[in-house]
Amino acid sequence: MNCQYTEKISLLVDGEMSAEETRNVEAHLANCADCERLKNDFLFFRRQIKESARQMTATANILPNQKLKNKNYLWRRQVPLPVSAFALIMIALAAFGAWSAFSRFGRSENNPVSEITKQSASPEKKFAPPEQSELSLARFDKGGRAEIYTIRRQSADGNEPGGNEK
Amino acid sequence: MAREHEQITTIFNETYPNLCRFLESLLGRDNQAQDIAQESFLRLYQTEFGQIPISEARFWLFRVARNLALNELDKKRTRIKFWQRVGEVFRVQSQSPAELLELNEAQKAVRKLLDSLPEHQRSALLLREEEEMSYREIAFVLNVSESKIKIDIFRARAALRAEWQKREENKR
Repeated sequence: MNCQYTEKISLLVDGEMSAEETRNVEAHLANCADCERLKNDFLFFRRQIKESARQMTATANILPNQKLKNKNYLWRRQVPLPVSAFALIMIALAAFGAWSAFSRFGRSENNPVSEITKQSASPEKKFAPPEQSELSLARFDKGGRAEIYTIRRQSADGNEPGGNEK
Repeated sequence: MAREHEQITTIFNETYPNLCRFLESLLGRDNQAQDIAQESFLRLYQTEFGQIPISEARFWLFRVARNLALNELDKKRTRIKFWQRVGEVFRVQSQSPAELLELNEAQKAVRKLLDSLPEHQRSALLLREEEEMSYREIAFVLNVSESKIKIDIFRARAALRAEWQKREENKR
């Protein structure tokens, strides 16, 4: 279409022209079949869009009494971190706390190093040997002085374990 | 405070469905439209309410919602190329609103043609036809000049017409 009024048809259907311009274009429409067809096509698209929009609104999943609740978003406004980063930090803290608790628990229950320290601090105190025949503490001393810390239970008759005992 | 709450509730009831519908046209029907619409209202409630006239709240909401939708589309763009292929096979992607609703053939075809328009033309035309906003109001929402809106709306209609005629010719 080469008509100079083509772009004005769009303004006409939207009512975005002055009264004088509207009269001029409408006068032109009376004599231009192409522009009249163009106007009808624009109005056709408008009807289809409006009708489909009406159906879209009718089927939208919207609660008419939905109220704004900003309390669910409040924490998000006050925590500068993204949720995932915050969750990771909490998990890391919990894991650190659990590890710390377990390592303390394990140390107090079974800590041969502390027994040795007690032993060396007060050698005159009677040391009750463990029930195992041999307790090697080399793992705490990196093997450097393993022989010193190897404790053997002395049998009542002074024989080494493994001898003939009744 | 109570009066403000009442006013925003009124705006919400009047505007929320239309805002969701507009966002669905931009984003598709995958619940993001409602999230973004709610985010827009939240921003209005927390920051701007009281600073903008009630009569302009509706346009402000559309403007914020559209900007949030464009941010979301930017994020999607990098994933779409890969997931498009997956979606073609498994239909993971959500269907367009036109496909989900019981629209007649002409309505479906027009909606599909609308989806093929550039975003700024589609937004301008939808705000004009669905929301019946004036060119000045649309220019405020889209943050462009009025003359650009005139051009965009005309080009959108011309493009729809051209595609429609092509479709009609192919049918024969």
